[in-house]
Amino acid sequence: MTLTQETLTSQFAAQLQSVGSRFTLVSKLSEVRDYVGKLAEVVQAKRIAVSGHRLSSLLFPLGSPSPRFEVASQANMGREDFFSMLKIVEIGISVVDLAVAETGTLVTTTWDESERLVTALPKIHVALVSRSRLVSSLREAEAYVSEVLSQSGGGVTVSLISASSRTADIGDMVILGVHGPRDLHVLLIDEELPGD
Amino acid sequence: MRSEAHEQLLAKIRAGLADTRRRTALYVGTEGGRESAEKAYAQFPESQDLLREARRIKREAIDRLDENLQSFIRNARSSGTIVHLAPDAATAISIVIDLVRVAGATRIVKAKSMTSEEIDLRQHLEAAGFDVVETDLGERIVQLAKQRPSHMVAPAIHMSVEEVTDLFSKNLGREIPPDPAQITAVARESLREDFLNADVGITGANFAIADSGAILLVTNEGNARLVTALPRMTITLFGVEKIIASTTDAFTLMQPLIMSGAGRRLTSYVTLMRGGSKLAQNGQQQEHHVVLLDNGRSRMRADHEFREALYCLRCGACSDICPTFRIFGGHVFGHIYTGPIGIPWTEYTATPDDAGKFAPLCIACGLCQEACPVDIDIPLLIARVKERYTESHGQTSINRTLCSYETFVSLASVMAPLSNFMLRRQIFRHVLQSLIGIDARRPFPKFTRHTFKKWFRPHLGNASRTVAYFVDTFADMCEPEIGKAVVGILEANDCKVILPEQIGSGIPAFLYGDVKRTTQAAAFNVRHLADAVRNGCEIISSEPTATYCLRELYPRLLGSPDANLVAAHSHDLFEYLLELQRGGSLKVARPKTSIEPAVYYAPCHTRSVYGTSPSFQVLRYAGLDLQTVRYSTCCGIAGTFGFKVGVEGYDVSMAVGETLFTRLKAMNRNLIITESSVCKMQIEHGTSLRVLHPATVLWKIYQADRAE
Repeated sequence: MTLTQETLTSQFAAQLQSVGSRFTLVSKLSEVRDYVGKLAEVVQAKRIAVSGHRLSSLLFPLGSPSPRFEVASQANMGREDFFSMLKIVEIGISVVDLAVAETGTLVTTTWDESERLVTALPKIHVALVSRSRLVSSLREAEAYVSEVLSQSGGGVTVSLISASSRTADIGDMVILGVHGPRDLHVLLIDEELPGD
Repeated sequence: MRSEAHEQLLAKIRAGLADTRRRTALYVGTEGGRESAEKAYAQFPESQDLLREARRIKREAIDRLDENLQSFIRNARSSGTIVHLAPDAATAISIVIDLVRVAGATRIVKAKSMTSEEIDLRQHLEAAGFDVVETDLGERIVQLAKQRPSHMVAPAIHMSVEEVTDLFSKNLGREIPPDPAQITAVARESLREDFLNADVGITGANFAIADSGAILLVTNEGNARLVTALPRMTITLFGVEKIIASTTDAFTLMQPLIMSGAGRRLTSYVTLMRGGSKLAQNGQQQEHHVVLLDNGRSRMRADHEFREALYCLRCGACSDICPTFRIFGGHVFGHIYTGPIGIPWTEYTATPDDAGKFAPLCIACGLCQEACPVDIDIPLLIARVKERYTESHGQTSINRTLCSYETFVSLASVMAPLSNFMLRRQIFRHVLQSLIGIDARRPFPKFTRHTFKKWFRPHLGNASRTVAYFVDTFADMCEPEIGKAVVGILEANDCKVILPEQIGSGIPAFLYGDVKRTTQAAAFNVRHLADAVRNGCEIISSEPTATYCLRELYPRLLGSPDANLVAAHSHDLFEYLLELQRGGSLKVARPKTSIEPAVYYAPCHTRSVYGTSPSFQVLRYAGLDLQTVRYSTCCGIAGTFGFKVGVEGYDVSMAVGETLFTRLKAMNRNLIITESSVCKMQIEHGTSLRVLHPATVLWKIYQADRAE
């Protein structure tokens, strides 16, 4: 790691951890599989959803030991079945397009609500960030978002996620996991991830 | 003369003061909001630049609203969004009801939106037979309670955990323990069903981006994400003032909104939506509608003063700091829009009467503007609302009397010591209370006939600087030692002091909405002070309200070159001393007489003008053991307000000051220092501690120095 990369990584980690999110550095996709496996065991997850069409086969390739949970993705089932799964999975795994060290923010662009819901419906969200996609400032993320929104056509949503769902509406006490994930796990990976 | 509306307000005040459970909940919520905002800004060193930029962006966006509106419509349409324009509430309601009806919808989920509250959207949809579920937890709570939101950001801030538990238990038909985590878990489960079964999702928008036609939504809960992702149709309703030019502007503006409103740099979720995405359940394109509402905003924009109210980001910071909002909450201090900024917003989106009815709750401390991330002159807008209301409905007699307070204090001064004797007689005080409405419990300061102005003698001899002293009533007629101390300090610093022709600042009139009278006082004072400035004087005052008038209020009211000239050359005594110190010419030595350890209290108007207090800095520089008290709002007296009988003023002022009194006493120091004459009176009355003006203290140090 260069010095700049190291600084960016620590800043990113610190921001995430300051709001209770978990941060882990990994180098390969296989480590992601191990992390998810352990997490699923701890929370006793029976089903997980994976975003995109390629990620699930990369995370759980044919020939690797079958995980002890069901893996739902748009690659291995039709839209309606995937939607049914989204309502009941305990963990959602997604790849982000960009991440911001300055504020500990994950940026994801979606054109299909199935993808957005992977990060919104389950109680646990595992977000995967390629190291190459980590930028230092919110300003840089803003340039990316401007670009996305300026493209013609329609039906696009850019989601900036900086923490798990929370509220302080009752007695001014912070409670996690209202209408979104309660736990946010962020994995920063050296390996390049599929943009899907 | 007291009208029915005023009687109703007094009844609400009485009830509010007695409701200790409500007051505790409000205190916890507003103090928490305020503290987390402070922390968020403290962690972000470039925040001042950001706030300046935010104001500039809003100003330009409102200036260019017409062209931005056209851009937004064009770009939104090109993304497949269907755009509707609603000049008023009725049109907006009928547009939404039609959309929902044609869509064959029965169930609607809603995210939090003050604009939807403004037009009573949910109530109209329910009356038309649709099932509407509020999904923001705070909004859901008030929905179940059949109440309106009482704060723009925290709708249920006024409710205790027990009350919320009851609501959910009744709604779900089972006992839920009074534990926020469990209530939230229960709400999550129950609302999840509503999200999944909804036909239509309705949201507001925090910002609408002209150059892309996208809308931006911030939430911590994640409900807006589900409201917009699951139903087959979404309707986004917002006021046209939300339209800004670009994504860059949106990214800049969202930060002060979130820092002031949620105490974080960013909310958990920031969602930018352009058009409707592919639905998860069937792959069809979601139907996305936006409804752009005017409903009085054009009229607001056309008024050169009220236009600024359109800069509001809806962060709620003004409510969190407001001394009277914190006691009464938004159901009393509000109509639909709540808190200080709620007053001008009610004026234009509801009626001037609706606004004027609760405007008297504002005691003109000015802290709302200090807390506002885009620096809206909320005190001035509130004064205009009061002005319009009193012009059509008349002024209460006590307020009218207090607008002419100068006559009474002059009389008391001329008649001293007899006046002092009378003012200490309870019988006389009760007569005064019955006749005029001044509370018998409020101690008057001692008046003297040996006023400062009578004592003042022109400085003989040479001095390199000349200053004009704009002396206040208290330093003139009650405690001339203050005035003498000011002159002594200035002369010791090579200044010649002159007294310009002046009358009282006119601020009590401002508090009660007699803005014309304040403007007249401003015109008189500025005329004479401008002459002094042209003759080479700087202007000094030792009363923070006077400084606030000269530097902030008068230029706003008069808008003239002379007013701006006076403002540019007006200083609090201690700010002037700090300037001398920076130039290396301040004469002050370490105190040889030990001044006892003291606590400094910062008056509201010092904070408005300077942020950090100059007198605190100078006294620390002079070696005093000086602490500050941890307290964020007004002491409660608000000039003449705390003199008014019972719930008209005194009771409210003492309720506001309660926390301050407790904290000051707990600091175990016997001396309080503050430059405001009225804060001094309030603190003396509430704590029985000794209170001195910083000029008095500094002069003691100078004199001790000389004696060596």
